[in-house]
Amino acid sequence: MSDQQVIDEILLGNQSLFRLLVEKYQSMVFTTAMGFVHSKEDAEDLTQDIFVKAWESLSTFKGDAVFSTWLYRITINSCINHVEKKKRNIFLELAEEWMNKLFNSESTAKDSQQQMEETEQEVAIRRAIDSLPVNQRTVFVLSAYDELSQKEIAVIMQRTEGAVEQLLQRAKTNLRKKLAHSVGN
Amino acid sequence: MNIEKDIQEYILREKKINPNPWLATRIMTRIETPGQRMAPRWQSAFLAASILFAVLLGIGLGKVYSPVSETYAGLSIDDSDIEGFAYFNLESDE
Repeated sequence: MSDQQVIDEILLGNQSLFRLLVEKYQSMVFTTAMGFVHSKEDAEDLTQDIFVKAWESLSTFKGDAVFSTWLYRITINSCINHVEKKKRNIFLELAEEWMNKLFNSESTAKDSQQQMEETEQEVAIRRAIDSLPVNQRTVFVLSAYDELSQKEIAVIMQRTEGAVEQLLQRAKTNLRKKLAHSVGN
Repeated sequence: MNIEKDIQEYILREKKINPNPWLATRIMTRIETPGQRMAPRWQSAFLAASILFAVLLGIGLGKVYSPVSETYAGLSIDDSDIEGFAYFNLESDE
């Protein structure tokens, strides 16, 4: 059964078939989300939100693009929105962290352990990836995490292959510059 | 180069992380029960602010409140007119 056939069946009322799409594409969505948020819990929450969004707008899927391309677009938009929202809500994040520290010593202990396990080098790489401009970061994640070709990335981002190549080169150069003093010495 | 190798290793480590095996079930449950949505952040913040406001309001009102003056207002009743015992003690009336 092709994706299009599954979608047609779902739109005809066989809603439980959506599970087939979830099972087929959850790793893909989760991996992309990991590239943006670098945390298993956040990536799982994001994956859940992305599939709910896909479910809600499934009737708008016309079949002009492959389903995976359509889902990638939703994934990228959701990840970018999540990252931007997190930047805006930094005050709430700090308050939440403080509340967790105050009331949940166990989770704090886990966090500290996780932080200790994450070496300085890993923190530097994560920060460098996170500090890339949105387009460069998207191209980098799709290329490095999802192992997509430049052609596939160009289709997803609705850009030319040349533009994707340029963005990827810039992303790599920026990463090298940012990490020159903290990694590989 | 070392930097590129380190980045590749970092990405490889992140890619090895697998989602929870029940993720698909979790997603389907959420889709089948659309009413159970997580409250948005502003709602949590609003709730926290409301609780804080209620607590501060309580403290404020507690400070403003001054108890009723405790000067004792007693009622002095001379009931000698009500119960005129003297009347019964008058022997001349018998």
